[in-house]
Formats: sequence, structure tokens, C-alpha cells
Amino acid sequence: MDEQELIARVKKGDGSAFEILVRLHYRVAYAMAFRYMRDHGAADDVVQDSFVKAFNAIESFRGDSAFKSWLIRITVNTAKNALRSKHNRDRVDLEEVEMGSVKGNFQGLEKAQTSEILKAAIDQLPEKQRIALELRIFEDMSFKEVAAAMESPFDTAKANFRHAVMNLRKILEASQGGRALEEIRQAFESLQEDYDHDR
Amino acid sequence: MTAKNDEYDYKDLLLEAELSDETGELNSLLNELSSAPAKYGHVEPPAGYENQLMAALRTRLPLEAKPQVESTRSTNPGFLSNWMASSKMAWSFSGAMAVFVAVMAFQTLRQSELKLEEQGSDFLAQTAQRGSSEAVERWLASVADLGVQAQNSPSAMAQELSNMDPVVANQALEDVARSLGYKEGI
Repeated sequence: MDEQELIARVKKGDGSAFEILVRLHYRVAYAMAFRYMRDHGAADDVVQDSFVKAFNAIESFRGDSAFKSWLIRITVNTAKNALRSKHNRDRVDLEEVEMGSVKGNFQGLEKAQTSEILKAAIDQLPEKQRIALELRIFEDMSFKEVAAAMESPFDTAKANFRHAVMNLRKILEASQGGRALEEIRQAFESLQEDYDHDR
Repeated sequence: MTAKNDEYDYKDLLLEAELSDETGELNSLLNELSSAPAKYGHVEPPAGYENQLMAALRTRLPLEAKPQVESTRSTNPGFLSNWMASSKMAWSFSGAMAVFVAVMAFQTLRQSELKLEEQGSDFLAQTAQRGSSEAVERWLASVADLGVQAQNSPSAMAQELSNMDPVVANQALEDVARSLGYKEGI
């Protein structure tokens, strides 16, 4: 049974067909939610809310795009709203936290392996760059799919990916060949400037 | 950092992203990233998450199947066989259906005087005679709707039973007996 048939059944009130859709797509929804929320519990909330929204809005799904793309867009919007609510609730000075986290991660870099540096660098990428990179490389989405998921123009999706790769290269170059810690620090600071500019 | 021979070639992706990579540095970087996604951020839900999610969604959404009894009966005359094949797995979820099938099998056997296995017929008769009042009530209740529909085609069910391996049929009926509280087999 193909997805169009499943969706038609859901529209006719057959909830079991929606359960099949959930089982088909929960992994990508979870991955997307986690990339934004960075926490299992929060990601789980987003996934649940997203599927509930999708179920309630299934009548408006016309099949112009794949159900997966539609679900990803719902998940991204739900995650963004959840982050906004959380930030408003916590009244956190984001800039301070983000700068602090860069410095915090930086503390252990002296002895870090290349992979650890890369991992830290990915975590510090501006959100749009990080998501674009992760979707393109880890989820193997095309730029068109990345753009659809992030609700951004195609060229913006590519630009985010491009900046992410260039930023990672800066970090990696600085970390290779036993270069001075100060160079790595400068690379991170450069990354932070990009982040500030991006915001 | 230079591209190695055994690396995947990301030339097309880099071109598409409008990234120049004369030295192969970026190709190596992307290989490093993609070769160990778990290390860098590939996300998989924790074990058991699928069932946990489904349980949570069932409390928020009506995920049950839409009843399609009539269409099932008319388009799938072998539904008794299907039920018997799946009864072990779905047993705890289909008690009412099991009782219904037991009643129908009993009625069908009596009506058509089918000679399944002598023990199987005895068992059905004993079940009807020894059933507690609660069990009989459950039988009657379950027959109320579905029974009327299925009784429209008793000959098809009888034919199906007669074509079944007696061992399989007995096993299924034994399952029915257990559901009604009979601990001894046929």
C-alpha cells in the first residue's frame, strides 16, 4: 500500500493508517527534532506534537509534496516554536550562554583529537549552518529537500552548507599539525563572529 | 589534508555548493564527517522509542482501525483461516472475536454435520454445555452484531473448516477453549 492510499484512508477516518505513517517516518521526525532541541525529552515532545498536528491537518495535505517533506516542515516549525517558548520562559541571555559555551568547549581542546575538535566545531556552528550541514551529510538530503525542510530558498540552503563547511575547515586547519592553541582559539573566535553576523 | 584514493568523491556536491577544493581538503573533511556520522551527530532515537511513541500517540489520537466488517466478509471468504493463523499473536486483543468464532464454528458444525475430528466436535459440544453463565453471556453478546452477518455465509465457513488441517483447526479451537477458562486441552 503506497503513501497516497494510506493518506486517503486517514482522511476517511482510519486511524490505523496513520499509525503506519508514524512508524514509517518517526525516525526522520525524531532526528529533525533532536537537531533543534539537542535533548531527548524535548525532542520527544516535539515529535509527538508534530504527529498530532499532522493528523489534525491531514485534510489540508494535498499531496503536492511527499508526506515526509510535509512532516519535516511541521516538525521544524514545532521545534522552532518550542525553542522560542523555552527561551521566553527561561529569560536567558542567549548571547552570554552561547559565548560561554564556546569558551567552555574550548577549555579541553589542547589535548583533543581532530574528531573531537570537529564535533565541538559542529556544535558551535550557527544553527542554520549546522542544520543544513547535518541534513545534507548525515540525512543525505538533497539541497532541494534541505531548503524545503528549513523553509528557506534553495540558494540559502546551499549558502548555509557552504559556510558550515568553510567554518569547519578553519577549525580543522588550525588544529592540525600541532599548531598553537592560540590559532585554534582564533579560529573559534572567527566562527563566533560569523555566528554573530548570522544572527 | 589531501584527498586519499579510498575516499568517496564529493566533487559534485562541492561543485553544487560552489565550493572550490583544489587541494582536496574539503573532500577529506566531508569524508571524515560522513564516515562516522554517529560520532558527529547522526541522530537515532533510543531503543524502544517507536513503541513508546506509539503508546503516547494512542492517548492523544484515535489510531484504531476503521471497522470494515462487511467488506471483509464479502471480499475475503477465507477470513476464518486468517483469523486462525493470527489468533495466537493477537489473542489478547481479540477475545471477543475469538468467542464469536467459537460460536460460529459450533453452529456451523452442527448445521452442516461436518465431521472434522471427533475430538474437535466433542470439545465444541462440551464447551457449549459446560460454559459458565458468564461465558455464555459473552458468547451471546459477541454474536449479536458480527454473528448475524457471518451467519449469512455459514456454508463458506463450513467449507473452510472442512478443508483445514484438523490439527490446525483443533489447535485454534483449543485456544478458544483456553480463552474461556478451560485449562485442559481437547
